[in-house]
Amino acid sequence: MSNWKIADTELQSRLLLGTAQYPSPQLMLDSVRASETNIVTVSLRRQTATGTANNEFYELIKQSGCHTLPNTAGCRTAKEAITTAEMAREIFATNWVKLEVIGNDYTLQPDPFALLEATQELLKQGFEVLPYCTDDLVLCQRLAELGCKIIMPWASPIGSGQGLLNPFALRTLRHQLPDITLIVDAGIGAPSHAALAMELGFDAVLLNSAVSGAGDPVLMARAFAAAINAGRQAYTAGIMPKRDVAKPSTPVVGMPFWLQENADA
Amino acid sequence: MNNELVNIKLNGESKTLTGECSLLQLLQQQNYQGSHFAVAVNQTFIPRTQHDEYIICNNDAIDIVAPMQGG
Repeated sequence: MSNWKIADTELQSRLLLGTAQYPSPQLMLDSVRASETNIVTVSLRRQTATGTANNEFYELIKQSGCHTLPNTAGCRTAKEAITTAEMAREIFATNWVKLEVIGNDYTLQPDPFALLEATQELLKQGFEVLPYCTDDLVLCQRLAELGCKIIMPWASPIGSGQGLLNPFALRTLRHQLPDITLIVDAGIGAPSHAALAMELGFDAVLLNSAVSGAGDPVLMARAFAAAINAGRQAYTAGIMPKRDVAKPSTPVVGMPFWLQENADA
Repeated sequence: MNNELVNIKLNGESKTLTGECSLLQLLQQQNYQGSHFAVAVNQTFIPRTQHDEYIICNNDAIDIVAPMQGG
């Protein structure tokens, strides 16, 4: 499958995988490996001193060999998100940030206004901003105008597993923002959802709960890897247009027996 | 010697320091080691290179964060 890029980093896998809510750290690591992802998302939380220079979770992530994409999950203002991004850059030594600014607790819907404010400041500071946003076309256009090269609209609310609630909006984004790297982020529940996003021409898919919450996360990670590959290949191959009427796939010329009888009737 | 009491919040918990104390000194006292943490004071990021020069003020809210699982 063709490679793609975030900033100057070439990537093979078009799956970005979250690291939260696995039954155990080892299952998390095994799932990451099974998914063949090149990028895992991580977060920052308050921590009391451990008296050790090691962070067990981060050591595990390093073992995976993946790039880290720190998020600003839980932030509710531009200021909080900016500060979290700055702290993440120091810890993870990366200027990539999955920028999340939550505007509603019920839907965990991003706050588009705070998102634009934080994006503007972080781009100024040299971050590679990957904004988590709704599928609103005008918002995504504004993010692109600010200088985002990657935009991550939701498929449906975080952790809902409802899949692509508005394929029309996502298809429109793909059509209207042909030069932007588009990643569907949030709401993916099944591999078929991820395949559909890829068939629409999205460049990648970011998910977490669908794998970590599966009965067998490692097997589900493999299923997502296969679905995303299949979706990308289908998009690249060119999907046939839909028709309103049937069209026989078997040639009708030279059809024996009944067609001739019908003609004679 | 300055023995003035300095009240702070450290990761949301109240603490009282005695006398002038830099951020670096506080982190050492609290046994933060290595490079897998970052610090913000009053929601403003303080880079590691400035921990030594930042003197903690009364009512400072200090947040220390470390890597965690995330989606």
